[in-house]
Amino acid sequence: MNLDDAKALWSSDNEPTDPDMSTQSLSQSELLQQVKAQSAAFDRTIRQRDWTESVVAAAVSVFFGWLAWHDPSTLVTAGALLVVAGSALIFGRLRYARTRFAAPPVNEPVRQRLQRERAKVDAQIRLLSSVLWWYIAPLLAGLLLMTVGDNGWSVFTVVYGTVVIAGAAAIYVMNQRAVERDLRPRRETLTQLLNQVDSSADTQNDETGIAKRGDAIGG
Amino acid sequence: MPAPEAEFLDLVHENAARLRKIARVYTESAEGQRDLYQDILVALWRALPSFNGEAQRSTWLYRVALNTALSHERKRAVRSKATLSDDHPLWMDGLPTPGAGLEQKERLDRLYAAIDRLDTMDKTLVMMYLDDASYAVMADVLGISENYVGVKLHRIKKQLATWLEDTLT
Repeated sequence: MNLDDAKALWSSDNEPTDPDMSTQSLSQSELLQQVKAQSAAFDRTIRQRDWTESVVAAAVSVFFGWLAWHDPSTLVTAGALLVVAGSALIFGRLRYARTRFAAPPVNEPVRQRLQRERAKVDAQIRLLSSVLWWYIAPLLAGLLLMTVGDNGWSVFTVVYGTVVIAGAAAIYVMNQRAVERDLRPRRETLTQLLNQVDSSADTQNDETGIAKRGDAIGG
Repeated sequence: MPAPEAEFLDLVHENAARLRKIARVYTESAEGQRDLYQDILVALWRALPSFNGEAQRSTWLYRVALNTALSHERKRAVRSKATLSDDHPLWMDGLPTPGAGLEQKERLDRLYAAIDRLDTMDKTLVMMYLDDASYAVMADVLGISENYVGVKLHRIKKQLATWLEDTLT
């Protein structure tokens, strides 16, 4: 069989073998309804995630802000303010990371989209690699300060502090595992695809360009 | 019926076979193909407002469908990377050996199996080639030059022809 035969065979493949993949098995209104419902579910998930994040950040700020205002201990006040500042920082970093690479257009050329997705993965790797400084440290320091301010250097403080530090260490390890198990393989796959689609020289130039643009935005 | 809905339905009905073939090339199981097909339909619906007529309709459709398929495949690849061999065998388990009276379905299965041996990005070019897309469309879809499409396609066609001659005669 030659390529012309293959083309003829390919164009003859017009009948779906799976009824669920046949547009004729659904009426026009059913098909539209199904697609619109899935699209709306996707939008709803994004909205819910953003809403939950905002509510949590607001609740943390209100609660610890109230503590900072009312507690007579300077250490508790400092710790509570640190937690409020930390939660604002977390909220801002997460929101910025998402909006910076928000929904790349699905109709752009494949090569451009792959480059954009790799830049997004690079940003996620940077974000998780530095999670200790923007996520864990401010909250941990704030909580420890508040505990010392409230209980002094007691047995409770030492036990509670140990538990909180162990929890923070677990969060750190989980994030670094996510980088190694998920993000780095994803980046490697994207790089392989880019190598397949393009000559190495052009890819490297574009990668450098995107990295530079990313650094300029990210600071 | 409002214009976007009508446009979407036209698009889907005109290109149903093409979209289904893309789903089949990028996923192995029937369930995976259904999922990807649905994902592509949703992506087309969501991207419809971005179709402004600057690109050809076929270019726009290929871009949306292939970007969705590649993204779908990457998620699957990361999950199953440890167990999948990079070099897929041509003959899939359970398929009969080639014979003189191969049925259409079997011949198609073998064509898809041959395509499956190609690199992920080469598959995109082969599908467009088999669909008779022009070099200009392929270049626009992938974001590379027409000359480079020519070079790549020359190599891929040679490779595919060898595999097909070996197995489909």
